[in-house]
Amino acid sequence: MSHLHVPDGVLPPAWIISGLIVTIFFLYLVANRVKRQGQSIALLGVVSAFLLLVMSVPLGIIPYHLSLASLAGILLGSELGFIAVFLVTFMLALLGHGGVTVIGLNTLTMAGQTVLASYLYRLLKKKLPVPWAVAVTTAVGIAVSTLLVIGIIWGSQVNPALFLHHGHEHEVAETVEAVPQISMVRFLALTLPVATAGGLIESVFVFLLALYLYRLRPNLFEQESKS
Amino acid sequence: MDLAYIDNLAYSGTGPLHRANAKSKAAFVLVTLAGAIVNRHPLYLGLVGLGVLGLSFLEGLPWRRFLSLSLYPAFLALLFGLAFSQPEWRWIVLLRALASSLTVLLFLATTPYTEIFYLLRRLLPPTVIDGLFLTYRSIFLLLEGWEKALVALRLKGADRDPRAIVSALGLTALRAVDMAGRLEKIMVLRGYEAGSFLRTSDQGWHGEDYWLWGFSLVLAVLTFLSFG
Repeated sequence: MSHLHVPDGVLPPAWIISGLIVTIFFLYLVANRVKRQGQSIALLGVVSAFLLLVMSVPLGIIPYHLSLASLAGILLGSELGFIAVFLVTFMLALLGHGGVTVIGLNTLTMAGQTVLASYLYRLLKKKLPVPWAVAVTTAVGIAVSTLLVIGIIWGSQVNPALFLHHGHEHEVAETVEAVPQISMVRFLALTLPVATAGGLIESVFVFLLALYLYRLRPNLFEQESKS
Repeated sequence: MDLAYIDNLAYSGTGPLHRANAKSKAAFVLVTLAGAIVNRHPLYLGLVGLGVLGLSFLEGLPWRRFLSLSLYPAFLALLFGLAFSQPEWRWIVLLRALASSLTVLLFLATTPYTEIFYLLRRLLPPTVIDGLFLTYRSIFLLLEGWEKALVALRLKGADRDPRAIVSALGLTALRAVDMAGRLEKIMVLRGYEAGSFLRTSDQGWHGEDYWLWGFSLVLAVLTFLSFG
């Protein structure tokens, strides 16, 4: 759980629906580009399957797993990486893992990590050895993804009911009163240690994995032809 | 792996929910999820969870295993729920996550993945649907290799050595890349076009479907009344 999945029932419906619409919009955009450029759907399917496999490897007594979303961005590029993150989030949500209603928002937060990773890695690999560049990219990606989740939780505190029920002051007052606010200080105190520990573990794991893969297939980490 | 286990349940079951049309089950799931998301009564949410567990039991599905599979969403929901200052809302968030995950598990354990992907064809681009099919197909192939690697690690007594586990996963990753290369050639040879993996699957309409639609309607009315 190096990344935070938002579970069902935390966010207001307006946020859930917006997340789905934005994700589907990006999926169509990216899928068109993938089709035009003739990028490998086979590689997309197989890498997504590998991510799912890695996520199923339990790492302790608490429900904890790795994500490798940054590695997906590095190996697949930003466009296929975005689709891969959606596929994985979707399949995981169908397993009751991460909310099914928040597939859109969870895709966007993880995709932020993937897309950033695909560009950041290109910069870092010029200055660092490849396994180190992959590990640093992963750490930064996880930090960004965590910030996106925190941003969404913080942003959703501006109760969308205020906009949905415009003109019905009495109803608005009732709705706002009925839905309590999340204490951001408490939320950060709870999630940041978990996310930081997860990020560190994942970065070390990805470093070792990249070291192994780079020794055997250095061409996997050549990104010039991607995105 | 849970995916393989649930997939097996979906294909091997013969209960009423297995026989029902995927569209009817999807409607039931959507209504139940919508009810769980908008409802703020812990009792209602608890009853939805218990109702779904009851349906799993009647369908002959492993409801205890479903509960253990719901541990992860429960853990995350707890993390988010604890941030609420009112104890009642901690319960609401926890119960919502449990009710939702149990509902989705019931759907998945009674509906093969291919039918679920087929339902999504009007919502998602063909390339993404193809990606779903290929991911689904590849996961079982990779899983087979990974399980063999795990057995080898256990025989060597290295199944708790992080470096050995990383090497085994690395090997599986390389196998995945090779597999993608072969798959790519096969797809080119067969003249792949986006959407090629979609096949129509007319499942027909059964008695169970009427029950499911009726039940969904009652739930929708209950949700509307409790929300209003």
